[in-house]
Amino acid sequence: MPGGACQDNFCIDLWLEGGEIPGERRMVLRSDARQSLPASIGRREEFAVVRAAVAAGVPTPNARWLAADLVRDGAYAYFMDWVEGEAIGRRVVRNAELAEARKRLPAQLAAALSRVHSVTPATAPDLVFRNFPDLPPAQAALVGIRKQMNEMREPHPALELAVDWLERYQPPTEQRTLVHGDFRTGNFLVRPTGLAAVLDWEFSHFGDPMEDLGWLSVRDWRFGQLDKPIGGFARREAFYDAYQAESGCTVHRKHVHYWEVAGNVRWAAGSVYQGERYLSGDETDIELVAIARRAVEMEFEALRLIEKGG
Amino acid sequence: MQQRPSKTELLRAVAQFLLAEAYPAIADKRLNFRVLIAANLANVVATELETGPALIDSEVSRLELLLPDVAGGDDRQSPAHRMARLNEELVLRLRSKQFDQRQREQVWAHVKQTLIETLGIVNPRFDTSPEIE
Repeated sequence: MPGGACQDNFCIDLWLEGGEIPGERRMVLRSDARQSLPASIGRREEFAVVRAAVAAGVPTPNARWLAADLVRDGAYAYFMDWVEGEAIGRRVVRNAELAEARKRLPAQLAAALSRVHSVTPATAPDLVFRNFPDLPPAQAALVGIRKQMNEMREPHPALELAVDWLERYQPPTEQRTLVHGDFRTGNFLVRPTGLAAVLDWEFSHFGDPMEDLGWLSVRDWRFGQLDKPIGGFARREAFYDAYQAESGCTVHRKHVHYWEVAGNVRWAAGSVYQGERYLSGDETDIELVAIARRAVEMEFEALRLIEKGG
Repeated sequence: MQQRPSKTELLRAVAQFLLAEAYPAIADKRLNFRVLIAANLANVVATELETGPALIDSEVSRLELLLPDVAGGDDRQSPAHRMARLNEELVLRLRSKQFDQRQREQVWAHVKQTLIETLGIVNPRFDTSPEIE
């Protein structure tokens, strides 16, 4: 299946004898790829995250039958329930047949996200993220961002300015919850009736739940609907109110602003990296070089948000 | 060496061909979307060939004002090369916190201007208004 950056995903039709779900099943076999993106967790850790999320009531395809060496030696893989729906961002925000779905999405996403954030180190003590720095959330994010910047092949003064701001204004927080890490349009499987599933847990970790709220509003994830900061289909207030009501967590607007700045920086750095993947000869997808040259958009947005304030 | 059609004209011709002939003929939605991306890239490069050199020159001038002790490098170096060197120095000084408050504000204004000029090439339709929600 196309679209995965650091996993190999295969659509598989199975016939199952006995067990939990006997009979004919369409599933996805999700495997470690040869290469992985920095900050992406392997399929073994991801399997545990998905199980914890499903147990907490997050609508996400269930993970089954974790196995090593199935697709390739040294690669973990697991099977995922197949779920129908549209995930492509520009279609989710624009397709006419999803207009009704867009009206329902904010409430459904607020509920889903509050369930993600109900998973904590206390409620899921077996959840480990081996490669994630054991630091306060903003510091941990900055470690990752600095790593990305050190690998860049040309200077990015705009990112230096933004990172300087991020270093100075880290929001203090005691909260540690599961953070999805890529909670945005593009990872929401949507049907005409609304949200079918949240996808793609490869960037999940324990951290500040406000990080997920910030990422959701990163400009590029609005797919052109700039006046709809929630996923490209809704305004902020109603969504934050719904999330607060469902989760019992306060939405600190200043913190969300911080993580939105951090999100634009992270995606700017990520975009540059996509270009390098193409230039290395490992990938031939023309979208990668196009995204790389658009890093300037995310850099501008980070500085604009800093100027505007939270 | 023949120069006509020019580099810019060739790129515009590639973009035009992709948009007018290739795009409408391809049914596969994923593929024809990528044809649009390719056409856009050709147009971006053409624009950069046309307006880039002047913008690099003015970026270098601004950088030399911000970093007067690094200014006046080897005149035989290309403007792009000088720009890269100056930006490397700028990043080094930002990281080592060598600028005072006033200088940082000047750096910020310069960087912002550079971003806006770059956006004019890479995505002229990008909305640079400060008040997006």
